[in-house]
Amino acid sequence: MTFFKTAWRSLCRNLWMNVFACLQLCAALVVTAVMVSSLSIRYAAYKPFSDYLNGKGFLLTYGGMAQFIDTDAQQVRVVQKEDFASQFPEASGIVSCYIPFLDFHNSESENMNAKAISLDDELIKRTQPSLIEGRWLQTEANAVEAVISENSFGWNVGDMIQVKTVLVDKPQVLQVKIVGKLKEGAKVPIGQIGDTTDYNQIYYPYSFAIEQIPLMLFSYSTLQNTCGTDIIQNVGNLSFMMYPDSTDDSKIAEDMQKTNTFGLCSCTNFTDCLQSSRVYLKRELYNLLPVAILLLTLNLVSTISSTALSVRRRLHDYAIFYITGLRWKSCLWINFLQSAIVAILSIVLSMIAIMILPHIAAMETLTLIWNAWLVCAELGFIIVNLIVSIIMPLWAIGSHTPREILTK
Amino acid sequence: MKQVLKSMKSMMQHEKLILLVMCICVFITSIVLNFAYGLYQNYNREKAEASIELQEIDIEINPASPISKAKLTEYLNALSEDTLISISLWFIAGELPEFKDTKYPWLDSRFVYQNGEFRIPDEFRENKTKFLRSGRMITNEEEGAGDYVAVVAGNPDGNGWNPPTELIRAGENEIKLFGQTYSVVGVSERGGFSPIVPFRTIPDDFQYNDVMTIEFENAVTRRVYDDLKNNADTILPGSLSFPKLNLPDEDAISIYNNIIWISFLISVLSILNFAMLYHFVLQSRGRNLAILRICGCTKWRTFCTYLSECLIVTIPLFLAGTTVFRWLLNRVFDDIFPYMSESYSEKVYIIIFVGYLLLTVILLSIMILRYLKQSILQGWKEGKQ
Repeated sequence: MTFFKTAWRSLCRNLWMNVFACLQLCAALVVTAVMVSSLSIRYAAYKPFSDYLNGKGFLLTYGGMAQFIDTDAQQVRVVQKEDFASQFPEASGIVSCYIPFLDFHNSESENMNAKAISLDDELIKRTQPSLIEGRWLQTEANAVEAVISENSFGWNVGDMIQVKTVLVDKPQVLQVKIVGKLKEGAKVPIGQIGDTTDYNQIYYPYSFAIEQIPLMLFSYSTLQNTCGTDIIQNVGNLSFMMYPDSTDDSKIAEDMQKTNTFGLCSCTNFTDCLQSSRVYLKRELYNLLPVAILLLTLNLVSTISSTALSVRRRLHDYAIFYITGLRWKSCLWINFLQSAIVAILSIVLSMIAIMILPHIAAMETLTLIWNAWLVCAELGFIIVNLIVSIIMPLWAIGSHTPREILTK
Repeated sequence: MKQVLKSMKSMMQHEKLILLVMCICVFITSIVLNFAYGLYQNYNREKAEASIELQEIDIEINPASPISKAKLTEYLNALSEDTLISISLWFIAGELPEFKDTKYPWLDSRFVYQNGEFRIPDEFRENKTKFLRSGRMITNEEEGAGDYVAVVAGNPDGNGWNPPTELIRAGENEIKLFGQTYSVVGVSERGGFSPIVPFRTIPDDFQYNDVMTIEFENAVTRRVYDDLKNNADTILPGSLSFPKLNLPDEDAISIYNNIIWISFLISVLSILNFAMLYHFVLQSRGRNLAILRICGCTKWRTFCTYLSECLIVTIPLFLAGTTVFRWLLNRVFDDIFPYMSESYSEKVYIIIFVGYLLLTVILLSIMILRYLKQSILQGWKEGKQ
């Protein structure tokens, strides 16, 4: 306690120096947080499905709905969940998007054009697109709810919309509550058919300005529980096909071939997807590496300079402490405590700054992602700071006697 | 000057660590400030390019199945008026037989087609007019009416027309192209070698076989894209290879915004660093300052001495840092940041250096004047600490 009081008093005596040091450390922590967030942005989209990609199976992306093309009968028929699963008996799990056959009406019962997609619970739990308002879908909702994109119908969070199931024997009219609104360009996990084989094909950046049709996202299970057999939800857009680890690769390849019967779709083995994703992430990281290295260098230099200055400043105090009976070791401990107090104050200030900055109008383009990496990076930086604050005085104190310091 | 050098010698003897740290700080600050500027420019440009990509479609023309001008016109007439109105520029190029053996054998056609009329794109007209050596640009009326007028490329040496255009010269101000005589209304300083002629004057059997680019007023919508693609599949089967519709990449924009903020924040951090160092240097000189003032040194002379000392250390180190940055830029950063090197010029380096110098002088002046305001005794006591 005595050491703490001594450290605190010494801190207050060199107030401006320590205020500068605190601000400098705070700025360094904020910059580090912004840098780590930049590195995390791409990874944040990969992480929710990384366990799937590390397993056995394949990813299907469709140009719309999966359709059984029955060449004998020369017709196309819908593919619902059970039908689809029966085609792949070896698969241990299927997580998919579906296209519910719905008609939308406004309060005047006029038909309105919108794109409806329902998601399996796993997709809802694993990822949440950027929303500008409201909340994401819930997996165990009591009533039918939806998340919408921007739209020209004036639909907003809190509105109730009437939808009707179609192409069934007993059409049902449902009241759907809008619980959330997507940000323009938000990455929605509804798949994207194209050339890419990495994890980016899982997401579709939905922009109403480009698509010109609003998107409505539902929970598959809520619709199914509410309507039972009175709704058709056709498999479409995106499917994850998981297989046990013991499954032979040839069986998976055989099942991948089978998907040619489902209309326009693209198949990617999880292994290939994982490899492409890693290459993609490495490339993105490589592009940001020079910035990260320069930042690290700058942070290190600022840490060393502020520690060198504070030690140099406190050397005289430590010489006096030594004369009054305190050992050099205790002086080092007091120095460490001073640095720790400055570090703690900096952490608090930087956390406040990190929470406030994105909400300031001028800085709303800043994206900060809270994750384990950010916390580790911040802690790592503080630890380096504290280590340097121990090493510097060891060198400075060790190379001078108290007499030399006092008589200089 | 003698006093300045004495002060510096004293610092080298008694404050080796601080001097070393100061030198490293200034050196790193120089690299950081130059890099921060380049980073800012690079990512601003990346953002702009990302936005432009949403407003453009680059279509490959199958060389085995080129598009005739007649077929192109049929294609244009099949598109909906909404689609045509959203397009701000049609660009299509085909090989001109007369220019086959030149460096640039392509005939570029640029036009806007709306309400059944052809006209010159506004931005293209403005740019071309800026770089006219003589004469004028083709008017919308001439473009729309299909008048036989042309704008030719001037000779790079400043006299007459460029050599390929001289090959098709038909008179003092005329060229012969597609078997027709065109009246030359303007000579341009820059641009491709081939003449600019109204689209309607190009013969129906002229083959476009290079590339087609369509630019839009705003981001391409799904409806417009489908209209273009479906009509191409019907009227020009196998000729056009459409890329996927460009979709916004919000993650990329977020990264670019973050890096732009980082470039600003690291400048702030390096300035804070710098301010802290000089604050300490001045504080530790309190005693020396008191002695100088007791011996009759005026405040102005003291001010100049300290300022000069700091600038003598700072300027060469900043220039050294800039040199090292330029080396890094050419060897390392150029590959990773494609737009960085083009944002630098001698003028930019000078502006960064002068800006840093000004900031240093202002900051140091404020700090030195603060110390000079103190009484000699106060300064002595502070310097002793």
